[in-house]
Amino acid sequence: MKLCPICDRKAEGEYCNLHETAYKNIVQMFEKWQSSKGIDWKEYLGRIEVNPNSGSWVLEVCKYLLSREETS
Amino acid sequence: MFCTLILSEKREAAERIARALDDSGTPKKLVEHGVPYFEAMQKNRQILVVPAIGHLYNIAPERGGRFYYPVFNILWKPTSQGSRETHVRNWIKAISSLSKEASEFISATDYDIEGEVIGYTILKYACGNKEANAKRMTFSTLTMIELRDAFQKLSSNIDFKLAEAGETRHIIDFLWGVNLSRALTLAVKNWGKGFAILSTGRVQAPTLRFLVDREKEIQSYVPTPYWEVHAKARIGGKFYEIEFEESKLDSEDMARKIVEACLGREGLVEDVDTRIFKQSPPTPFDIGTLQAEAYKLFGFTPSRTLTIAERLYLDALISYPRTSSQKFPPQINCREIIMSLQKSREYAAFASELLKKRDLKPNEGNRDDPAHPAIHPTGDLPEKIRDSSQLKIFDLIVKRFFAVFSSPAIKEGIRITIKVNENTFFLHGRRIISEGWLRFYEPYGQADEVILPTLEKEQKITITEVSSKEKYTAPPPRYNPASLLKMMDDEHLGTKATRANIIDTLYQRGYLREERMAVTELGFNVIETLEEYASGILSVDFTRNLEDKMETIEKGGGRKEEILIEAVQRLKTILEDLKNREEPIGEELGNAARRARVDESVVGICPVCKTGNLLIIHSMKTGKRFIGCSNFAKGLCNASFPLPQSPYTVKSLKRNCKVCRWPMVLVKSRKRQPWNLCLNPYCPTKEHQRRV
Ligand SMILES: [Zn+2]
Ligand SMILES: [Zn+2]
Ligand SMILES: [Zn+2]
Repeated sequence: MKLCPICDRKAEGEYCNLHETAYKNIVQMFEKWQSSKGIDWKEYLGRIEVNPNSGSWVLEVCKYLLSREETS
Repeated sequence: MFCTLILSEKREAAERIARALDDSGTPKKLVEHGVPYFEAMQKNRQILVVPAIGHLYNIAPERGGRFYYPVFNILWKPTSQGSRETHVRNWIKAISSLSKEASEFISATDYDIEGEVIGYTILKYACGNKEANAKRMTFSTLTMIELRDAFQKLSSNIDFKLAEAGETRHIIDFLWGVNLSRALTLAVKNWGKGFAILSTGRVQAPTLRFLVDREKEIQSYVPTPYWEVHAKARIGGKFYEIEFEESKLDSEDMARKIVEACLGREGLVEDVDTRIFKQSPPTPFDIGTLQAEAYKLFGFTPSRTLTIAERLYLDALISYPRTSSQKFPPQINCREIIMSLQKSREYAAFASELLKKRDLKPNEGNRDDPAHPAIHPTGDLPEKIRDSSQLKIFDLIVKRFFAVFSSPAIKEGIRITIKVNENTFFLHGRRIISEGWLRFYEPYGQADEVILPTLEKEQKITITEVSSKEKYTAPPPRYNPASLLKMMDDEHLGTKATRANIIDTLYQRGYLREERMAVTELGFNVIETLEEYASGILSVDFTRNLEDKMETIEKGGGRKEEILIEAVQRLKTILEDLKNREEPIGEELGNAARRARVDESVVGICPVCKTGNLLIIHSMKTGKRFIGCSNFAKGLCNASFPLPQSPYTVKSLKRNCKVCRWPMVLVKSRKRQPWNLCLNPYCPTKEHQRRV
């Protein structure tokens, strides 16, 4: 069984369904940030990671994605 | 002598009924099997008034132990709940033996679905099948006048339709609750790697799902930026905030351009739009609106408000609170009630003013209740000193009652349109022309005036400041006790009598945390698992539909058998679903319960080593509890802190001390108010305690 790399819950695709929803929202909202602030993906993740209105699963996905960016 | 037995729901109500019916107004207080009851004497008649203590009988399985499953054979049995059990048995014995002396039976329990069931089951099982011949005494206040009147106008039967509707609800809720909870618990047990008592229910599950859905939205929320343009105008030496016509701008660029275009420019009044509008008085309180208002004004939870309102009802200060009516039927003499309230120094002025009206007409709402009117004061005034929360609710109910009969508030709204170099700004003002009901409802209604200077068209205005501000969209708010109650009402989940209880249960089961109603990990996982394997449990449509059907019994259309068969068939399908997928369900819930237990013991990040978690640990050796670091086992950190021992209970708060940022725990005891304890022995907040 595949596990979510963030929380060890059962994963259907890449993440568990909770982190999957958060991930989808992150991807979906990027366009808006990009057009209004002209920032790239990595900067975007950094910005929502420190935003107090971001949900906790969003924060967890951001942290995970950023740590992957660093190692790659 | 002719002996009548009157069954009431609570001791205070029994005493009041006896006092109202006794010729001399001084009934005798007697005791049978340790149960208090009252004897009222009339010319040639003896009246025994005996109270119950809630439901003396409950639906129970015909046979089987704690895990017997599935349960379909049921019957009414004396309520058995730990220490209450002997108590209830004595109560039944007492009523039973008093019933042997009586030749006439009257049920005078609360006139609603639960009250009818309480009366019906006691008459049937404790009095020996007296339900068919018993009469019904109904009333909405416990005042002497109304009680005497109610005794004169007895119905020749108890309300069988209402009792049947109640019985149906009890049976369905019991079958759903017991079978679903046991199925989940057994799934975990059969999985073999853990144990957890899990609970769910017909109304509980769909309600929790609403909370989970909201929580999901919040936790997966990605804010997006937007910009606001702010400007200030100086008018007659005073400064006013003016609003840009678009409250949210999508791009920083756009916001900047507007600011640049307006900086240093003069404003010109383009239009002054004045509108007079009427704000009708509020509608009378039904229980839901009272609970919502008390939460908004005083922060009382719905169940607390209900308890207080019931207390006030038992003291004959207000009418029966479990009502969904927002109307005052003509039988209620509102003028007389206001006249009685006039005797109070506090209410005298308002009461006299209302009494000057020739025609007292309440601003009624749409909701109705066949059994009781909207909540209103009886006219009796509190005699003894009461605790402040009771006084608050009483005052709120009296002032609402006054406000309902008062006149509309008349307000003037002004919108001034100001052009600054082609850009449109608004200045809003509000002024009260006539206070109307607002004055009667003070301090609970808000006048919120914004007075503006007089401005003419074409007038020039100095703009002193223009700036833009970056903001972020926010997730929807969590439910609070009041908004959850309203949602349940809108979705027809549960009844006015059960909703507050269901919310309490969600807390007790560990599915919700704190006043802000955050869903716990366990709550999430239970709903997630049910969604995947047995979504029928969560269907709001089905629950609402059933609720509506049960109501048809009450109104005299639906039949108990048909509705029971439908509900049981539905339940069986769900139980089959659960059985077929028992393995994954057991595994997921078992893991969830284990994670929840770990989660419950985690207090926060260890401030000593900064990587471990501080945990609440129960020492096997000493039986005591303390706080230790999860890095202790790895030999990395030996931070440990003492905790209060039993009878105190300690719970993780998931919050840090505002002063020193160390984790805190919640300490509770039976006798004291719960308090937050910072784990830092040298926290500045403890300075005071150390010196003493
Ligand atoms: Zn995950
Ligand atoms: Zn540590
Ligand atoms: Zn502290």
